[in-house]
Amino acid sequence: MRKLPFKLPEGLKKKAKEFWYGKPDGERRLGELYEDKTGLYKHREWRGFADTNYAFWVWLRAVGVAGKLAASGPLPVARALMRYRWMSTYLTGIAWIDRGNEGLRGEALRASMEHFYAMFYDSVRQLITQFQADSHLRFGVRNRAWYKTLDHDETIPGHLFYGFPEMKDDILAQLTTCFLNPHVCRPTITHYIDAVESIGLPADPCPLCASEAGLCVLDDYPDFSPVFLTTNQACDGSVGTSIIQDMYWNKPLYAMPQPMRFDDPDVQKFCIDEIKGAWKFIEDETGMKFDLETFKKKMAGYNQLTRFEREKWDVAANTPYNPVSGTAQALYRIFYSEVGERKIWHRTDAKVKKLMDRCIEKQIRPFPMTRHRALVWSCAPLYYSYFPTWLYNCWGIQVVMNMDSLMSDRVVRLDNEDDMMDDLAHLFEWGPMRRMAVGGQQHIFEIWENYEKFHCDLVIMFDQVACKGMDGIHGVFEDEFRRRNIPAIWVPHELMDHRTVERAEMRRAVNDYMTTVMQEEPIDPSLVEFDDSMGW
Amino acid sequence: MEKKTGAAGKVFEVLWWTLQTAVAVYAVLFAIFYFDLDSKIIYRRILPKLNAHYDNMRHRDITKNPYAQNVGPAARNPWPDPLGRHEP
Repeated sequence: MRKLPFKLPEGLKKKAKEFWYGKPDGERRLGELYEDKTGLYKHREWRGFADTNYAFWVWLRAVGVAGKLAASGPLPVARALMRYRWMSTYLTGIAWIDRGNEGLRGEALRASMEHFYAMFYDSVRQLITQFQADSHLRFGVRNRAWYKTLDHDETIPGHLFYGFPEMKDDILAQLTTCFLNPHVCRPTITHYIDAVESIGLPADPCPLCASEAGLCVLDDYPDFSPVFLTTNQACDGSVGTSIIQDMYWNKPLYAMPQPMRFDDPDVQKFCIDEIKGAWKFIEDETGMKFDLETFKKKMAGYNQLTRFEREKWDVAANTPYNPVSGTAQALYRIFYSEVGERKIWHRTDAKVKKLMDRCIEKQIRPFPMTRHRALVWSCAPLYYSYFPTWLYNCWGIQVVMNMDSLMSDRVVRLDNEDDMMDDLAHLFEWGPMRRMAVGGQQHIFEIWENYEKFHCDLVIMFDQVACKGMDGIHGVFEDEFRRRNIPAIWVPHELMDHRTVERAEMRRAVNDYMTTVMQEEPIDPSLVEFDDSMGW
Repeated sequence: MEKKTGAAGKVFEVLWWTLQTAVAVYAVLFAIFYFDLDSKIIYRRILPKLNAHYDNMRHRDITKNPYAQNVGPAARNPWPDPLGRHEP
């Protein structure tokens, strides 16, 4: 590079460098970007010229997707915004993309933001599908789309319904209406929890099940399907929710109970019968016919997603070159494995593969501030799903893998029907939360082999205070951590309800451990203590 | 400077106008993005109004629904139970 004929003042040189590359690692002071209490940004992060413009480009694309939602049917969408409280959550969706990708640069920023964008894109697709068929937005009129759309529980994976070519779409009832709420805008969901408690539910059950039932109490589910399929996944709490939903929907309902102890070979036939029963129920009730070839074709696409997922795990486990952040990994995995085969996942995976290959080829470390490789175990806090981003920026704790991502890991064999059904049953039984958190002690203890496999040196152990199953095994875990000499940080939370354990309290648990036990200094001191108690 | 005329001049004019517009649009959108104005407006103006609206909404009391399959507004239900279970 040619030298300038004059000398630039030192301050100006630094400013010019920051303009082009952004602040260097360890000097970012991200906490100073937040407004007090609300957590809104005074201004968004300057990540250097190229990266800031990349983030701006994703913002523009997200605004475009929101515009697509509005254009899909301005009247029903406006009516939905006035009819359903949860719909207001999506106004804050773009801020959710920012929070999840704070502090990231280069390949890490691109790969992680692509994951977030894909989830945002598919959420909007689900909203459009629901509103196009929703009789609540059409004064009770059930249109053609209403008869051709399937409504099922969010813990019944979408891939079970690939075999109905006449079906307009299948929608996971609680994904956009309930599950995503605390991720994106946490105060919304508390109204639903309070609603179900107002009719007598005690305050200590799982807040996910409680809020799903609360939507019924406030009559806030869209009505877009002639039938409803429900299940006991992930745990017994869902059974209680199903009863309320059955009462609320007052329409033909098929329940798909799944065995808690799925290792027993005898229960496989039961699970297969349940899946076949669900297909027959749909045929009988809606008149749509199941087609095996259509099913296999789509399932082959889904298998491709699973194979790439394993490739990502392999890179994460054995190299420092995985460009996907802990937050993006966890959310994207649970999101697409439940929604099922869609083009957007393939497009995203293709982009991420390119970025990952580039990191490996050029030996780029996308997370250069990594001090610890952490495994996250147990149910994650939905109202602080970007907690791994904070862990990395504040303490250099890079979340390499999390428990939820390791579920639903089965490539379905499609060469003969018996194997296919067997794999499908396993895939269903290994769904989110069920495989490990509710699958028995030997499965929740898969933590030890994954701790080794992903070459971790720290465990972030989420302590979901309202999860009876995980509460029951808390002491056994503590004994095992001590016996195996594994450093573990217990981080309390209440899944959906931020009022029980605030985000600041979760951060404090980590801060205390890192300063006292590990005796380390934070990478970004501005992130150690800050008040975001009134934030989204 | 002599003003260019003819087809080339027109093309240049259109390109110049397009560039100016693109820069202006970029500047406005980038300002909204960088200063997080979208979130600030939603947080301070839109959500408080929407929440006040939701708080004043009337809701159907679902506890009044009888707990049985296919009971209730039967006339509107085109899907009777094929096995005839729980008929009212």
